[in-house]
Amino acid sequence: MRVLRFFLALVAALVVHLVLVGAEPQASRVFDPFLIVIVLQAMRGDIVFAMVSGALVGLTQDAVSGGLYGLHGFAGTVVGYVLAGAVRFLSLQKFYYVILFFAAAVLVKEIVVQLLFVALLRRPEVPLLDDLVLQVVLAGLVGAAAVATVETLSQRLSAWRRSRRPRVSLE
Amino acid sequence: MTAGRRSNLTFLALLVAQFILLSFSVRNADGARTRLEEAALAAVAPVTRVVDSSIEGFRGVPDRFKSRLDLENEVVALEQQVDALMMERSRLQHVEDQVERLSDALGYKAPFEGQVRLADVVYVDHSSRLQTLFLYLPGRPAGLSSPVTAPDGLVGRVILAEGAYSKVQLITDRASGVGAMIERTRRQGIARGAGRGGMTLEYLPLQADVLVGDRVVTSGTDGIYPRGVAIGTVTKVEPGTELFHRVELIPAVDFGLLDQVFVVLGDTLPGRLKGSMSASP
Repeated sequence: MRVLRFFLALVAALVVHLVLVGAEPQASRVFDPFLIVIVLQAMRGDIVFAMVSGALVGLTQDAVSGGLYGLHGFAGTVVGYVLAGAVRFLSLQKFYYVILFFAAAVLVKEIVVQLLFVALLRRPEVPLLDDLVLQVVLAGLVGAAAVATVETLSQRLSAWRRSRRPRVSLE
Repeated sequence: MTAGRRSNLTFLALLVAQFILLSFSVRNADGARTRLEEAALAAVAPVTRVVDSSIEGFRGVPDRFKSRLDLENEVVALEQQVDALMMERSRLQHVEDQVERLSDALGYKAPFEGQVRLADVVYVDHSSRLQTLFLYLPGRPAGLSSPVTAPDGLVGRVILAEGAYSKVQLITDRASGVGAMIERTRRQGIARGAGRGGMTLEYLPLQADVLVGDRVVTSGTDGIYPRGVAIGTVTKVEPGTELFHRVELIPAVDFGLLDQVFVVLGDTLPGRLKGSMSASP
């Protein structure tokens, strides 16, 4: 069930990315729906699942990007590992902690991608500060909204499951 | 083995595997691609086509509700455009005949320009750092490094083809380089992608005559792109730090408006000559 949910989230992120880029070409510079999926998986605290899903999400993002294949895969693995490890020491009960968590994920991914650019490319491109700030803000807000939506949906699903259980009555 | 140690080992194994994949991508930037990359394109490209068709469907809704007067005006404008294009075509036909006659007289043979096919653009990301474009070309697949052009000018080259879908490296990509020349003076250089939709023209010596507004076209010397295709226009000329000008270009093509493009199939250079070019340092 967890794997199925992950693949559904991956397809949703892909569709959101394609629709955003189709509607507004600048969108891919300031919003990364793939990162939201990686962080949602990492928030469960299972390190192995988080980094494997991070790698898969990253490789999917690489498929719709130019440049080197595996760049986002590598970055996704690191983000999954670092965040899933961090979740064990953090308590994300408050809304703004969740926002900060997503914002930190953007920075971790950006650092890894930049390090790879410097290591592997002759002419790396430095991101614009405006884009980075907007990306951090958007990831925080959209990520927190995604967490709230997922929690609401899972609560409703559990309530629906409870209501479907046969009621045994002793007469 | 503890759970922590197992996850650390998995992490390292994943990183090493992906670093090998990345190294392979760096080494083969101009050639063979991994099966994994081809499989990823085969899985993702059909989704891009479905999404593109849906977006086009939504965008087309206002066009379906045009008034009769609007349609009549559009028909008149299109008829005028067709007349103008017919006149231009007949003028160009005349010029082509003249060029052929002169070429025959001088014994000159123009380089092979390949067969051109129309392809649909199903996805284009031209503003991010890792920009790319996907084509849908049913039938004969595009070959690696096939040039891609639009009516306004050069778009890029195919870097990965899987079935009916191809991935294109745009000329504005920082890894892209095109043999170029200034149309006015025939001075040659290399047009490189500068990221964020811009380009630069490199290796133009300080004594070279280059002005803002000069049109830059392909020189046909790189063994990939045919000669004479528009690349862009010079927007800025500055003395560089070394012996060369620093020249900035704006691409001739507006990548955001691309709906269909032309793929040039077949080599622009004979295979034997191409081999000798790639072998040279």
